Amino acid sequence: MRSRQVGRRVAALVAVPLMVTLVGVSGAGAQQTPVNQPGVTATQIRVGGVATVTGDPTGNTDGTAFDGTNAYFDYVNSTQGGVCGRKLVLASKRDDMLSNNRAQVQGLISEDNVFAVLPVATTLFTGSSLLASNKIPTFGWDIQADWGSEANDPGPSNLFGAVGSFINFSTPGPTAFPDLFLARKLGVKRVGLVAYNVAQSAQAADVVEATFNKYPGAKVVFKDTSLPFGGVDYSADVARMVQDKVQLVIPSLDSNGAFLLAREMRRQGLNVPMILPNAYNQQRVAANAQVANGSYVFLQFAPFETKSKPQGLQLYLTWIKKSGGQQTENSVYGWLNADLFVTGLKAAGCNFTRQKLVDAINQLKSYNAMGFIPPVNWTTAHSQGNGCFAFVKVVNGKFQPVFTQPGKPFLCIPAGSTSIPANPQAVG
Amino acid sequence: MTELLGYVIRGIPYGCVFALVAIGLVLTYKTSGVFNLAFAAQAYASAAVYFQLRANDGWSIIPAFLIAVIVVAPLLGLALDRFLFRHLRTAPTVAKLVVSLGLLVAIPEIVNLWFGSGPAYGPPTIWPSEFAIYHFGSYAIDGNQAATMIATAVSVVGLTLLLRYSTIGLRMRAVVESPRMTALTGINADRVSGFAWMLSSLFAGLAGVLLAPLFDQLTVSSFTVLLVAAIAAAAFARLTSIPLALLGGLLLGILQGILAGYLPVNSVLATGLRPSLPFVALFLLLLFWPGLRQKRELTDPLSGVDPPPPGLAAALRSRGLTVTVRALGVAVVLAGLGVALFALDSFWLLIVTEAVVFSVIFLSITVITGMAGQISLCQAAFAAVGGFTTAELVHNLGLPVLLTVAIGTVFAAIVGGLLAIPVLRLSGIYLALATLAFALMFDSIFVPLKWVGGGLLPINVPRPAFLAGDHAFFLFSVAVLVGVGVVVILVRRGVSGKFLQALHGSETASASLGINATRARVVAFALSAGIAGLGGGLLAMLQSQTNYTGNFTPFAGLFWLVLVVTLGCQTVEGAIQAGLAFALLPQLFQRFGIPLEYQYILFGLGALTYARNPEGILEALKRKQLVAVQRALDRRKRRAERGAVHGRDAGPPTVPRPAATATPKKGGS
Repeated sequence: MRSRQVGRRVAALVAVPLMVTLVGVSGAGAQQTPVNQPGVTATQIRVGGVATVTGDPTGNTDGTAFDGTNAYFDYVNSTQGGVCGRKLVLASKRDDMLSNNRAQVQGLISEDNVFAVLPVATTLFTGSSLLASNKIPTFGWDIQADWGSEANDPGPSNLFGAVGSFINFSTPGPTAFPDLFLARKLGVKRVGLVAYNVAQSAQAADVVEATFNKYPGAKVVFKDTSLPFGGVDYSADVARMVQDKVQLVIPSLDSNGAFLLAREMRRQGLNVPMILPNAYNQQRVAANAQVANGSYVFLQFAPFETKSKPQGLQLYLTWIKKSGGQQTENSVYGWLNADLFVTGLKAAGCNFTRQKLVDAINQLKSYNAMGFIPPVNWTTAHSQGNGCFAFVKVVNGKFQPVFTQPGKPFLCIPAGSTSIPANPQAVG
Repeated sequence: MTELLGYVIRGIPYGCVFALVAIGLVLTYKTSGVFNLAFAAQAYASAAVYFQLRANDGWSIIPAFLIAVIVVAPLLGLALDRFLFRHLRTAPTVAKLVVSLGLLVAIPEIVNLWFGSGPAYGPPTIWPSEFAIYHFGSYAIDGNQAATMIATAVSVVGLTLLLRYSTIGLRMRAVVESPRMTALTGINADRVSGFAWMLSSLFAGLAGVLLAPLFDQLTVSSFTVLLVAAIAAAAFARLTSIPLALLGGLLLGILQGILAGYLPVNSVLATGLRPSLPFVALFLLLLFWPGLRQKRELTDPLSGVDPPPPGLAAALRSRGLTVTVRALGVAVVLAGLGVALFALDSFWLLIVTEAVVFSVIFLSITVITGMAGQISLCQAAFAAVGGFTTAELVHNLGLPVLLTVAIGTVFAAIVGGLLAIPVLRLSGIYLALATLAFALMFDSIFVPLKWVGGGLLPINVPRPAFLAGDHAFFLFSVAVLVGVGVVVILVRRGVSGKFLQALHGSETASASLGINATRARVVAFALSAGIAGLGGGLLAMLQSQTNYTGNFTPFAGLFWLVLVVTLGCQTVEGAIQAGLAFALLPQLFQRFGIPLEYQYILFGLGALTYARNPEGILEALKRKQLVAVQRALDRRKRRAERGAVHGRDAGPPTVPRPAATATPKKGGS
């Protein structure tokens, strides 16, 4: 069916090549190169994305990823006239309603006539195999094993996360380095892990434990992966962590669960730092200042609060405001997805194709979105996690960058390290 | 010992949370006869109003509380009584349950049209000092926990006194027992019922405002999860005793604390039993708790005077009309197939194929609810059994996928049959709760196991080469649907179907005729589960994986039941129409830019029509159209007959006419 559609498009383009060229020349400048690709017209490069806008029980703001991509496209279209004389258009914004991911991905492929898929910001990614097998360049928030993991190593070459595509879900590795680093930095020896009894959550805790076991330093003295999703009673876990003299709490929960855990810790007087997962949300932390103060959040992009802001962050802050989008973690990922897409497109040249775009990105060795993210080596990023992180601490209900040097918001621990250094390399 | 005491004491505040919700369920059931799953939605409505007034509009605690709990909540209760439940007093359990499920779906979305569907972080408490912590020895509670405990204690005392010793309490119970007999004693049943709903809704509002801060983010799903967990406490109270609901809630909270404290972390027991404790407790209570085992459903003694439900519209048609309708049906199906095969792109073909596969799954509801009259809330779990079996056998044993689908079907049927045996004694709401408990146990015990759910990455389910193409798989799915539809029709027409119909009507009368209720029900459960399992296997093939979170959660199962029963659970067409609505409507809404909230409002409000049309909206429409067409045909026939009679009648006049004409002639002569 798809080949028939492509065939129809090819036929249409072959039938009116002159018209296409003329429209292209009149609309976008004489330097334009004809491109025979789905979603690419004489004046536009159309992309489409999918996010879990409705029905997400985890408290994430996935839908704002569209804001980030829109803001980036506004920036490129306004300041550079688009790419190769064509405006960038986020033509399709699909809501997978949690359960409909595969169907919506199919819709992007067969209905929406898009050149690439971005942003993907979904809780489940059941349509990943469709995108992988159709070789469609795809850019998204890589929180699922489908992008690249031990069970899927290397990840599909056309699926691009914002800061690499590989996540450690079962073996010790860079995904858990920030936990180890924080434990070492704070001088704690006893760590507690808490997770839901669902695969993604429990295995995230397993990987942290395995990494702590592999590298010398702190020990996991308490680990519970039996919490029910949506449960409200963390009292027994906290009581046991108090007994076990836990000094650092690392929950593999959604942000709702993590804040409830923080409340119970405060109630029982377990005043130790914790790592808040998926909680880089200024509004939320302000509302929970009493329980969140002293906690840490780690990020793979430069925090908004960074004093000397890298150019990529400055542009994001400027254009997300100009375009009327929301400033959230997910909108950052939408922005980064768009940046990688445009970077790859430019590298592929003006006679780009999907495959050329994928190949071009996979040759980038030090991509950093104008300093917004740590450097990513895309020649290895489908099979190796990224060990670079930025840390923020919650102080008086606000995020405050910590452990970094001015102009260098990230700390990097190489993937193959045999130990966790006390002072990792700072990177800007 | 100190340690144990610690877990017990820490479990009390959470026990009060369960108790508060359980008391709400008992109160509504006791005063209205409705097992009100919409309690969660009513609670959410008041919590949203309180959030809006406090967090967004800056109101102080007391006026915000008064508006949200004392004004809005009772008004909502009054509206529910006036427009819905007043007309359902003598309706069967399934009708009330479906309507409450419809409200559970619709109310939050209606509230969100005003409240907005964006994240609402940090719901405010009613305690003046939000983050205050009070220490009692080495234990501590925060302000909101204190408020919840106080409210629970006051509610238990107040409601017990009200229901046991006040006149209005007595009247409320009487109206539930028999509104008609109560009315015969001169009591205004409508007024009493209105008061009962206002009271129970006020209580839901109170629970909503008190419990919202437990979740950090205000969503209806949080309330629903809590409500489902609290059902065990309500069952412990036999749905009638408010003090026992308190005790049940406290026991549940304390037991959870003790299990969390003593079970070895990460053991199979901990990961399996701890999350599923409320559901295991509910299941065991329903099976073994004497108060429930001998429990009779609340039914109006005068309900026997109600006319029997109407038969299927198809059974009322004349032969000629039946032939015409069938011919039209075949034409429509062929046209639909033509459009699907030649006009749809891959996306819409996938959606239509999903509709066909879901129609297969929904036929399982036609069997268990439409034919056997039983409410099963675990059809999604049966479908998941089929899907998981298919995936695991393909992956681990390398069996051909069609064979694994067949094995999955049989396995699901066995699971269904086995489940039917312990729950045989139960009926109505108790059976519904037992099946819901089973679905929740499956969800929290089995699905997380790697050898069932597959772990992080879903297992790839391939299609055989001849079904690899989308069109081929669509045709295959249609063939399966036709096959299953024929089986359902044959069963309905056969001995088993007649037995089930008889049992549906009166179990006692059926037993007197020698019908083996046990056998008939086990067969119905097994057949229904097998069909769901087959659908689950097909869905896995269609989607290349068994996507449990996306398709088969217990809440998805609730939604399925509402949809099928609303549209028509007695016929094969009803299941097909439900499948089409389930798969197509969300896509059409998205295509036309209609907010998806309206989809839920539409489905939810659709369920409300079940009160008027227990046979389903489409079946009711069909009957109306059929009556109109049949009347028109009859009229035409009568006219034709009259014409013929007139012709015959006119014959004699025409016969005399010549005679008359002859007469003058005669006369003339």
